Amino acid sequence: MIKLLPKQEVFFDLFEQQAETVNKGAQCLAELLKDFRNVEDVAFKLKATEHDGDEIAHEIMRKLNTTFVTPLDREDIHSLTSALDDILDYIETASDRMALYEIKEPTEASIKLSAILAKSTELTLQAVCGLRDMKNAKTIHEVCIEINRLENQGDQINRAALAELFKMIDKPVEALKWREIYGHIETAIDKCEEVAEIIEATLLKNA
Amino acid sequence: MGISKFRFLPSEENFFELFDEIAEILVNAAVCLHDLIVNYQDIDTKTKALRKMEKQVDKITDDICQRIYISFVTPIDREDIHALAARMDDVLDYIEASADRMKLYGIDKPRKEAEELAQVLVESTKLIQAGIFALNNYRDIETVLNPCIEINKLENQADQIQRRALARLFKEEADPLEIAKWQEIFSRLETATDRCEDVANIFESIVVKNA
Repeated sequence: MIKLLPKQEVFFDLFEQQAETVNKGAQCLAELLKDFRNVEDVAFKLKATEHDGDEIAHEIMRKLNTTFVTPLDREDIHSLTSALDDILDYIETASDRMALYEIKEPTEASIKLSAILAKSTELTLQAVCGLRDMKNAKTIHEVCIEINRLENQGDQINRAALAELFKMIDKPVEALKWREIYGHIETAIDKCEEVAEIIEATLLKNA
Repeated sequence: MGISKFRFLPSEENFFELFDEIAEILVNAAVCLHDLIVNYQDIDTKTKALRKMEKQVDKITDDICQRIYISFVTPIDREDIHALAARMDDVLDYIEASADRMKLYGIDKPRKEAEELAQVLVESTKLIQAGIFALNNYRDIETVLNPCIEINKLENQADQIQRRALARLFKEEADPLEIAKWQEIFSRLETATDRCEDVANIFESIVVKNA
């Protein structure tokens, strides 16, 4: 086993920070939907979290541009950080739209979807932490499978929720608001799966 | 690296000309979309023109894929050449789809934020063109990364425009069908700017990998 240079460890530190920030955002969104209060404040807080995530992503790119030997392939570092960044973007947009559309109370489906997202980002964080020491490839692989499973589950909830929405003939505008919000949360879950795919590909390459 | 004249896109296979052609069509398409929104008439002719551009790009993309297989040496990875063509193609798809939905949904008069978003697309596609040029006349990493930074900024700007557009739409529009139509059109326009950012990400990835 080659000992990594301290400079290379920095990438793993930054990835973990980024994945932690993403997870923090998802937990915050899930809590909001469970206890629907101060939407605007939460949306504002999530905007700051998203900004933190951006900063870490920029730092990773700066390091990438100035580091000669990287612990993972350069393009994998690049795509991993952009995919993590995407997750947080969609989380932020979901909360932003709830504030913008002056949503009064959450739907059952939005609570479920945000809980799935929160679970996915927790696992995403685990998988990212696993990159540092690829000896536990098997465990990381299992975490990635679980992320995939959650994504399928998210798909199904979203589909059922859309069917419900289109029965809301008395409140069509509310239905349109929720359709969009569900879309953002589901895309965030999709992006977790994308991170899992990148990590799996990285593991195979470095096996 | 001590190589002063370095090209990322292999000239012997005319990849440069092909990517340049796509970039030019992207700019034309964005200009056409902007014109459609500002001068909202001859909708059929304008949407047809866009569809024709889409077909042209599809053809060039096929051509690029063919050439990837037959060329032995590519200075950048084959998958990057492929990804670049595919992501540029996506930009056009969303530009075309935005115009198409306006026609399909029988929009009477475009909402004013659509023009702003189209203007962002004109600027973003011009920056993509600049990025392709920089890749082919490679001097340093900055000349490629600078357009990327600008494209990212424009994408953030488009986010804000879309947000403003949706706020006004839900506030002022009473007809839920009208809301649904515009929600979708704004989303396509904004996604087109996201796809420009994807192209910028590939530019970054190419220079970073070969740095």
